Amino acid sequence: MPPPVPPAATSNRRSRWTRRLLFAIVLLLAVGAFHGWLLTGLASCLVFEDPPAPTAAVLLLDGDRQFDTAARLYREGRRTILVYRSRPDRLVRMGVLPQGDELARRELSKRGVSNEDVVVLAGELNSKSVIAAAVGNWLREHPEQTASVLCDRFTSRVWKLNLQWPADPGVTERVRIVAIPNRRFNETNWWQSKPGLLAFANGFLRYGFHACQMKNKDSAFVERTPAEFRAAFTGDVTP
Amino acid sequence: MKSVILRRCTRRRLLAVICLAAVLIVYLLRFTILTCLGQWLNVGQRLDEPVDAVMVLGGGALTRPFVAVEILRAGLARKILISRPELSDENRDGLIPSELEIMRQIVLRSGIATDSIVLMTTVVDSTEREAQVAAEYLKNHPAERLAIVTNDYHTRRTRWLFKRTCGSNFERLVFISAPTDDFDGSNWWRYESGLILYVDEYLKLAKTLIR
Repeated sequence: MPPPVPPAATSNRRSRWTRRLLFAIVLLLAVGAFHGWLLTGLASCLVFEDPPAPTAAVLLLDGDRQFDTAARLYREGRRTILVYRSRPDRLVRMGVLPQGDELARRELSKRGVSNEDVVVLAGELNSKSVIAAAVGNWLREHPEQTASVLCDRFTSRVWKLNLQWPADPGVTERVRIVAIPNRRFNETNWWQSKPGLLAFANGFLRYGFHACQMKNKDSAFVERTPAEFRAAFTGDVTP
Repeated sequence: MKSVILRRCTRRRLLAVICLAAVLIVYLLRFTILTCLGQWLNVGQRLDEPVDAVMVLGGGALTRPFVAVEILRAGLARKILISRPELSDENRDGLIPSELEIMRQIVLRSGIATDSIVLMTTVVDSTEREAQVAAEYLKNHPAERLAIVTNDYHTRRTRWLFKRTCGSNFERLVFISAPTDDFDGSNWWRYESGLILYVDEYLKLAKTLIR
């Protein structure tokens, strides 16, 4: 039979739990009162932006209204707009969607950018790390150039991570990241809309993925075949 | 007093060992666990009997309409219903065509006749809304059976939502899993888009369960 617990020990335990409960309540109240500040701070972790500085080229990666921003920078004196070409997917091959670099040329031309000033980076670039490597190569081939990199605000730190990995410090210093805000949300209100919530969650997932995958090779691209589309409803897995 | 403290320390040490062991087991079995999590989302069925129409859900123009086209080519359906997702900012800015137009073009360029294509009129912004549109369709076409085509990772939530919305008409639905380019349930975590789609799907699934 276990020895009876002394009354002092019981009262100590009770007061310890009371203290814990009080602490939890105070913590919850503080989180409630400062939630805006806390959520803004969390989203700020996803954003990386270099201080504005004049550069000779603009690189288009992603981001809301990126063509408007690129055209504005072009009017302000940047003479080269860099775009990249991805591997054409089946919608591009069918002619349903334009190739990304063709779309960029079309939209930039509409905004007054001369076609001669748009340069396509060499190769078919399908992942962030490959794009970053191509940017590094281009900067090494053009040692006099500096580039403003336009990217989505909540993806900017992921791009920073990728751009600094393959490049040598001399190249990294010549890249200035311009984080473009989305028209619907920013760090101070992302939790009020569905696109904002998704961008926030996906921003952290992306960052985690790239931070872990940095030293690994990119996974292979696999395009599904018509036989696999048929197998989706016949259950026949043999191609 | 000493024995109480000693007992508490031993209990804490035991708890720490159990936690460490659990973490180690999860780490060693991580690929099996991730594969199970990925494959659990896929509840696609075979299409053993012909249906009257195939409904293509919005959000996966790269593969979903191609499966629908193959179903029509195999003679297992007569028409394709294309859902009408709300316009994105890129559509409104005139950068790319709407998803409805993209899907329509895919189906047309795959050789399917125009009269086999039905463009839904209700604008949808979620799978739940698409389920409501399907429920309405089944109510207005009481003799028809529908095949719902969506991506493999999306079939479980779709099934839940359609079951909740369509009631007794749910029996007239078959769910088809369209494969996704690059990854599937067995390797989704190795791809950036796979990780995002599968984790988002679990978050949305949790939201569906709570509501």
